[in-house]
Amino acid sequence: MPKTLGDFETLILLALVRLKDQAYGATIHREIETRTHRSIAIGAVYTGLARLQRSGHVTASIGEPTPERGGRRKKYYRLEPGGAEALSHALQAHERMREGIEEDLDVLVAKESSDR
Amino acid sequence: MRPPSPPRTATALLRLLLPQAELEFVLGDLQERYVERSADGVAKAQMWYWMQALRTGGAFMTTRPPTPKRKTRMTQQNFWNALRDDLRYAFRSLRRAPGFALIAILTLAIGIGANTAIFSVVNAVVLQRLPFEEPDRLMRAYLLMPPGGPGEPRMDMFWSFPKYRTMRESQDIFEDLATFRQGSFTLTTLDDAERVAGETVGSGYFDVLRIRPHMGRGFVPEEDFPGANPVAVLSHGLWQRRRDSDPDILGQTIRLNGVAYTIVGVTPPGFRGLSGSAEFFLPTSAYPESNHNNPGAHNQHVIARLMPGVSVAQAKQAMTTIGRRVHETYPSSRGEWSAHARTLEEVRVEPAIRTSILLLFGAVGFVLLIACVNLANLLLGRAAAREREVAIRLSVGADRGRVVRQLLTESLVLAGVGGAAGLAVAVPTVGFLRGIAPQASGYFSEDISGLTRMGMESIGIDATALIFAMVITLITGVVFGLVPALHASRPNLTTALKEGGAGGGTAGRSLSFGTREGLVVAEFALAFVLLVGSGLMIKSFGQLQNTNMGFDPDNVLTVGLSLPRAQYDRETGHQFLRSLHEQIAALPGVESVGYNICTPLGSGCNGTGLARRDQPAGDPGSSAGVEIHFVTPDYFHALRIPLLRGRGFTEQDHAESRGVVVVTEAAAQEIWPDDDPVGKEVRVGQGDGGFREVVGIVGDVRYNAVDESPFRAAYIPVYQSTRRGGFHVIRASVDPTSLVPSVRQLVRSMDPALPLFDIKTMEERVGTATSNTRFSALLLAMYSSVALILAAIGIYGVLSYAVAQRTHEIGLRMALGAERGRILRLVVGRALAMALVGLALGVFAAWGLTRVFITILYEVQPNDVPTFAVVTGGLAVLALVASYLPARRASRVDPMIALRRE
Repeated sequence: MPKTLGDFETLILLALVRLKDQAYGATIHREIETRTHRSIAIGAVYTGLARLQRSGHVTASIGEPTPERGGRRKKYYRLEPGGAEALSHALQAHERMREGIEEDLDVLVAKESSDR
Repeated sequence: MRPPSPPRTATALLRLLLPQAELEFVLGDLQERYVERSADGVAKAQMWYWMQALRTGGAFMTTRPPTPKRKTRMTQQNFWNALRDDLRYAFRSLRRAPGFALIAILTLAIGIGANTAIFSVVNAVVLQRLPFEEPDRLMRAYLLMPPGGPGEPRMDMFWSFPKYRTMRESQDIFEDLATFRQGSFTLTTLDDAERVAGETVGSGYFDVLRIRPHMGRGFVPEEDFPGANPVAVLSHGLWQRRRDSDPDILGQTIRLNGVAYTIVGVTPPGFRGLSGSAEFFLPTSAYPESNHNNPGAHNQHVIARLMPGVSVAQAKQAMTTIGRRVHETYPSSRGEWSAHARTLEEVRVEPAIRTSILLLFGAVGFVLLIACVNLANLLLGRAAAREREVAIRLSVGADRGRVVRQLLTESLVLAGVGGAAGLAVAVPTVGFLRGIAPQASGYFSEDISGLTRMGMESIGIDATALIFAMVITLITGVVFGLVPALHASRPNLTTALKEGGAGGGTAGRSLSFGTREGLVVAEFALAFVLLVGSGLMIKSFGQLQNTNMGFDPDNVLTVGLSLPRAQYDRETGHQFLRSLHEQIAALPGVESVGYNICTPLGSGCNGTGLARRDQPAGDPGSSAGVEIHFVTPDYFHALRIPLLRGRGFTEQDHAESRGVVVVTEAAAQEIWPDDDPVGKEVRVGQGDGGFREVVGIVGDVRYNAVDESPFRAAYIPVYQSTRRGGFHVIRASVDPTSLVPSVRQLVRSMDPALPLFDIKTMEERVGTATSNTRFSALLLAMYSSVALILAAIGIYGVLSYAVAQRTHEIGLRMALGAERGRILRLVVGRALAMALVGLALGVFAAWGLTRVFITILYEVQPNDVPTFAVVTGGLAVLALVASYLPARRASRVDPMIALRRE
């Protein structure tokens, strides 16, 4: 049984799925920031990707340089089957945890905001 | 449009922090995001980039690298990876010991920073190399007067033109030589008059100094003698300022003291002559015929350049022979004249200043030593604590070289951060010192002061000093940082592992406790010597402030005014003086006004010989050297110089009346040791040659320097002389500077072509005259404060470690019933013991070392007991305070916690 994914690792893997073959540091960072409305250190993305590489969920390949990044090359990341499976597991876990709580959660949120 | 580029410094930081393998991709990603973000505003994007750089750098520094690969062989790539690992580890371990890191960095910052700053200023003010080609080949030649009496030293004298010519013809040691003399002239234009400084120089002057004109030419030998066409060379500054850098300046004229001179050349930028303040240069043809032919008109300096192959020692020897030759040509009844020469370097700095610089160097060394001792101490303490860690690493198979490298890196990181902090201390300190350094820091001890004086505003951090201080501390850091590694490589790893139970403690104690205590003792001894030194200087400065200078400097304005010979002869000049003084005295707020050719503590006072009529000329001691002053009757009132016997001068002492002279107390006692001078007749060298009657005795005045005891002096009524230019001394009942506009107005109404110069209150002159002592005292005081802080840090650091390491022992003692006070006494007593041994050594060292202070101390003995006592007390208190905090911590050790840690 592989180690379960951390929250941030899950976010990275989700970004990889979305970005398909356009997943590299900058796009992953942008994708997570814009969708989660969180300000994230790009370093955290790299350390997360490094962990995912070590566990074999993700592989990297060197891409072509482009002018908007000062002629530097990109490092593309690809989701491996093992990673996809882990992501799927994680999402299913989420899904199962979420099932049937929508109404209760809405009530809690509403109560929270009326308390203020 | 070009995409905006991210902040470079941040990028550089990333390059430094990130692993090479990842660098390109990370930078690319960051730049891409930066470009996107700068659409919302570049400043915001830059801020974002910086934050990202710092956070990303931090992320890579504090986490394990993604792919740890270890190879046994050191390839190039591997070396950098290892270094990166070491750096990361060093940062982390320093962060884990913030107290240690903070104290170490503070020590380095103070040691490197303060030292560099103070040294930079000293270096710039005094040690700067002379700005001439081969300055060590330049010499000043002097005449030597016959001794004033038996056992009295010979004094340096100016050259007269005839004696200079004799010397020049009989010498074969100098390639070229030239006379020069500084003076100030009134520069007049159509609507304006200005007082400007200049030099009158021999034709060889520019060649001797190897100064090539910026435009035109220098002077030719024909212009050395009277009768030549009046010509002048302008300084680059005057050419720019007064003539708007006119390219057609050559051939135009300039009016100086009412005479028109044709401009033949302009000097290169920055050159202001040997006086350091010359705005123009005139050839010696500007002197009247009489001056050129009178062997007794001593008024010329001489500068010379040694012939190739002639050494300074040879030249000095040859000058004695030349001096004899001069004496044979112009024999004197006063005794034998001689000559000598000194290198420019020798005459540049006053011996007293030289001594204080040596002292400051000593202080630099001491502070640096203390800083190093501190660092050594801290590192040894840390070594003790880390011995166990090193032992573990070695025992699980770490390569010894690798461990050594790791510790080395840590020391280097510490030194690097400390150095940066030092720079941060040094920059503002230099700025502070720049503001308080004496402005008139002369390079020559004589009246030509300010040779190429450095503008204080141009002083920056001295790179050599900074590097020196950093290298020394670095070496200290490396040597003592390596101790644990070397020590732990001994075979008995097991001992280290076994013993290091509580906080890795006891093993270390066996290693370094004696050493560290010894270092603190040394620190106290060093601090003691420094403090005694600065205490003596401060006391000396205080004495200087309280010196009775023989006159009252409060509320006195001094104003220079020169009456050019072309417009004023003796008669009209004296009329001008009388009328000016009448009008000044009538100004509201003026108590009295006097005149003298020079002011106390100003420059340019004259000396001559005074002979008693009742002693035949030629007898040894029949003529004594005296300072000579030409004054108006009210001069003594204006400066409140007390009349001791007889009378002062009155308006009745004029050109037609009997010649009179007033002598000072020192002159009276030394020239008439067992007689009353009043009523006696004397001949004064610069008088009219006739005999004068001594009519009174006044108190001594320190004309030269505050710390020089007054020399014998004679006063002659100015109206019985040809003098008319000089200083007007105005005693006011109001703020004396408030009188300047009305005095200026008065002079302008009498003659608009006369500018006032050298306008200063007497208090300002006193301040300038004591500024060197004040500055040295201040610098030494700063050094000793630094030493004091470092010593405090040192003793605190050692005791803190001692307490930390002995927590177990202290807990045990307390568990067995020791009282809190007893523990407190134990720790404080230990500190006092160290301090006392250090103080004893310090007293011993200071007693011997302060002897070098003798020449610069003023009315303070080098072994001044009160100073020694105060310093001893102060340091003892310091030891108490610095040990109190660790002692209190020790006394609060909870026995249960301390014992449980076992």
